[in-house]
Amino acid sequence: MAQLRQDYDRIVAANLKLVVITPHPYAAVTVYKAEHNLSYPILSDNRRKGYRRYGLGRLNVLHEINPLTWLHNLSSLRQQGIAHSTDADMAQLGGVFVIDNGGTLRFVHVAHDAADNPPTNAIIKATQEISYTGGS
Amino acid sequence: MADKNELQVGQPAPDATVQDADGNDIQLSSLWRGDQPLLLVFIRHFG
Repeated sequence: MAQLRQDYDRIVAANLKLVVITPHPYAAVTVYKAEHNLSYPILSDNRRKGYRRYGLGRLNVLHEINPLTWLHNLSSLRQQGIAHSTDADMAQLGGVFVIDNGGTLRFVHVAHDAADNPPTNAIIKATQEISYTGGS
Repeated sequence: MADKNELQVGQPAPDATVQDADGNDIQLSSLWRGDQPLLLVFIRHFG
């Protein structure tokens, strides 16, 4: 989320419509949005059907005992606060996708560990390759 | 290493039902039918 907030202006300038999906229940989304005054929608996938369909896995035991994973999780807990962490699933991994209006994937990044995020430049480059005369 | 079942560029994006901040069901496919490419970000958690 921190990287998204930091790069949001660049994402908008690249004509991308940003939508964030979280495993938190929608009630937590309501509270989070009220606290952070965000310009983009956050949707809840508490049942994780979307996460599974997009092939987003969970940290395995080796990742979970890795001190770097714990440092990352502690940093996130500090940023989001304990109130938001109680319904968090710290083992869930994320992913980033660009989809054209024909429903075709134009950029795919499936995270393989807690700190695996694609550079914003790579996302924007993929977007620039989309000819927007009606999608694919 | 990429999983052999991992989604690839050029494939159809999977659809799923999620919920907005009011608890209303939303189809992901309804999000990409606009005039802009959709950047869909699945986060691990807030933070």
